[in-house]
Amino acid sequence: MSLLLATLALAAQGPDIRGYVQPQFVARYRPQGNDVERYEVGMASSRAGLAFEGAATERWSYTLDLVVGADTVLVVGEVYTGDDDFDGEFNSIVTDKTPVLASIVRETTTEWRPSDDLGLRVGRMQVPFSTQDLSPDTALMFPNRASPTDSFREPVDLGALLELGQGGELVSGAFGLFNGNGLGVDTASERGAAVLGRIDWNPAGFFAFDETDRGWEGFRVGFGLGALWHPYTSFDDSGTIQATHQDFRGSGSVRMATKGVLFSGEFLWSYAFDDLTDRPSTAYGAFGQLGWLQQSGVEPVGRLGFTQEIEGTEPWLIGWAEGGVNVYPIEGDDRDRVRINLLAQSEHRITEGETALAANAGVQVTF
Amino acid sequence: MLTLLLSCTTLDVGEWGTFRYVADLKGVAPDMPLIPPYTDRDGNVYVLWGKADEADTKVFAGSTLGGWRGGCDPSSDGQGVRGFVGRLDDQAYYWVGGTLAKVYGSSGNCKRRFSNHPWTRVELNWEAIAPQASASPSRSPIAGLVSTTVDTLPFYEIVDIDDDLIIAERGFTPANASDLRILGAGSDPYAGTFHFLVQYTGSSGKVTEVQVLDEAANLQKSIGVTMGEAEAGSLKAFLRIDSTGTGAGIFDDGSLIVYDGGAGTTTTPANFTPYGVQVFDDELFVLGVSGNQPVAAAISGGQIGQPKSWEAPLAADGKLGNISVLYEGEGTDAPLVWTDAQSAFAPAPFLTPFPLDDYAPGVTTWIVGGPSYSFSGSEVMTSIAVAPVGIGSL
Repeated sequence: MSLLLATLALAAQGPDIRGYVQPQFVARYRPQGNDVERYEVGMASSRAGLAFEGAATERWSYTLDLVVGADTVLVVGEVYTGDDDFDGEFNSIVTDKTPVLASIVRETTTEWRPSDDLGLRVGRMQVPFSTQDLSPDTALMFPNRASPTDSFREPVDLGALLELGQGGELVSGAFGLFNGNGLGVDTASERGAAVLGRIDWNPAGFFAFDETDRGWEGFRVGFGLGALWHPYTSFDDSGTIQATHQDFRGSGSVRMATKGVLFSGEFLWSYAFDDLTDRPSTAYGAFGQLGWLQQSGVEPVGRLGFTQEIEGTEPWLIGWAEGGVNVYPIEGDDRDRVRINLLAQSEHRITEGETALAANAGVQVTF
Repeated sequence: MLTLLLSCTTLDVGEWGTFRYVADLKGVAPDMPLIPPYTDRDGNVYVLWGKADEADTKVFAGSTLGGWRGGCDPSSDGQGVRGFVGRLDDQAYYWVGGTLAKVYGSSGNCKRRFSNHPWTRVELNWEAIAPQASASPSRSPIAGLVSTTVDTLPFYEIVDIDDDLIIAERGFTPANASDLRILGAGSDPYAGTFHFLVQYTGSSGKVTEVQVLDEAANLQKSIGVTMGEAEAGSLKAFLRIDSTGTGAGIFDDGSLIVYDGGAGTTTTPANFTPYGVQVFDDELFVLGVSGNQPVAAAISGGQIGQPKSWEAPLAADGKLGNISVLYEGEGTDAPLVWTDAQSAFAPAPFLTPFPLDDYAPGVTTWIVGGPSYSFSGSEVMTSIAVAPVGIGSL
């Protein structure tokens, strides 16, 4: 009877609703860019996140996380023939494309948690491959995750994740099986599940994955390892096997924080090959970021990162440097509600000899 | 050490990867009218078939995910295959006759590009093309010397193959040049410049020089070359330039041009037969045969060094014969066995004047010929397959 009453009470409460709005202004300069790309000034995006979390019973819960305005994709609106050589013959297909919102679903999961230290999440979710995948969007040091992280991770996928321990505790881990391509099994032309493993160890005590140290507490340190293995088979139009593929990825991270200063760094690596092309793809990258949140609510931040592809037709090296300040204008318990960021960012295509410079200003309001 | 730990090249020197059937084409190995394959950034592989002196050409695209498409002919005028000249993520550009054409990796479709000037609409004849010198998010330029029916002299055209637009153009200098012969072209990927080997009669008499242009079509310098008269287009494939700015190329008659920043000359090696010039690890090498032994001679300081034995061609050739070939998209993933497979062109793998494919570090691609057949009165057809093969370094 008590369990029934507790369940009814939970259901009556409805979901917990959280969210944020994050408009970003950007001024970008590419000295080597062509005319249309050399200067870009204006609003880059206005992203909003909305998360619904609730519990159906004491052991069963759900999460619906939507991110709107983050990604758009170009879809073909009209198709017609063209003559782009002016030779009087139609020799091209011209398409008019229109930007539309990409999938806004970050997470739709159900969770069964038989005990505090064991949970099973099933559905569409962020794959916890890198340490930044464990940080909520609103708790990142910069408006976006580090570029090396974005280069190596599979951001969102369908699958099941067994979680051991609670994130931030002395030891926590995760083991998951995912589709490996972000698509439903009935829409993908590839077959093969991705296997994920991750373990985090915080030997100095609880250490949340927030990228800003808000507690002015003592020294904390955390180490993390992530691994992803995705073997899959691709097929041709007749349904015959074309190739078998192997995709390995690994990550290793270290985080340290004390008295408002937080450092996190991660090394990422990938190696993929198949039995058709004999053309392995190998890449590695890393980033390190440092922030110092002061009592005044001002947080100078800096980040360096790179990715290097060392196999392939044209191996390349890209470096990133970012720096600036986050300002939390509200004092007290609501400090995290509003954050203003002013950043200078640069991307250096070292192999290709091209640079992009940007100034970024934005505000993040959470609710 | 880090690179060693993190990289893995799968093919040893002379070792072949998966043989992928492409098509049945006219010709008999090892004399088929083919050039080395070409790979775009996504890993799609392209095969270009056609003789250098005939207009009939075909291009094929092998998807990195499997399957071949193509047989496309951009309906070029004049002479045939001159070589691949540029790549994007999933496209390749090539030069056939007086035509610049591109082929799509996903479909194998091809089409002419810049066959008419976008501003004046006048038809353009691409007399020489210097391959893509650089690639970045904003720039993928190639350069050409183009002629029209309304211009007395050709002019330099720099086009961005990614944005599909003309970056710059400039008339040939000197403007009073007569009897202009465009012998060949090449690009310097280290300096991002384009080299054109030309012969003309100027105010001071007969001139042979390499004109070096930047991406804005500015003439950076002219390098005088001491050589006799040569036919237009007599340079095989392209000029190759190393990291020091030294350039070299091979002519139809087997003689070589070698030049540095100051001057150039032609020469014919006395102790081996040259087949081509390639760049390995930023250095220039002349590749050829001495007796039956493939050799490589480094070019340094404008001089061709002593040839040294080069094992990679014979190592690769020795592993042909009986090979298993994958017929993709044929409803089976079981390979078929070819007997007596051999290099489809060139006396042995890698002995070519055309640039070798940058497939992966220490690995290039090559084409092998398999079974041949003919119907009464028709030309002989031969099955060809493409495979990556370890070439190592010199």
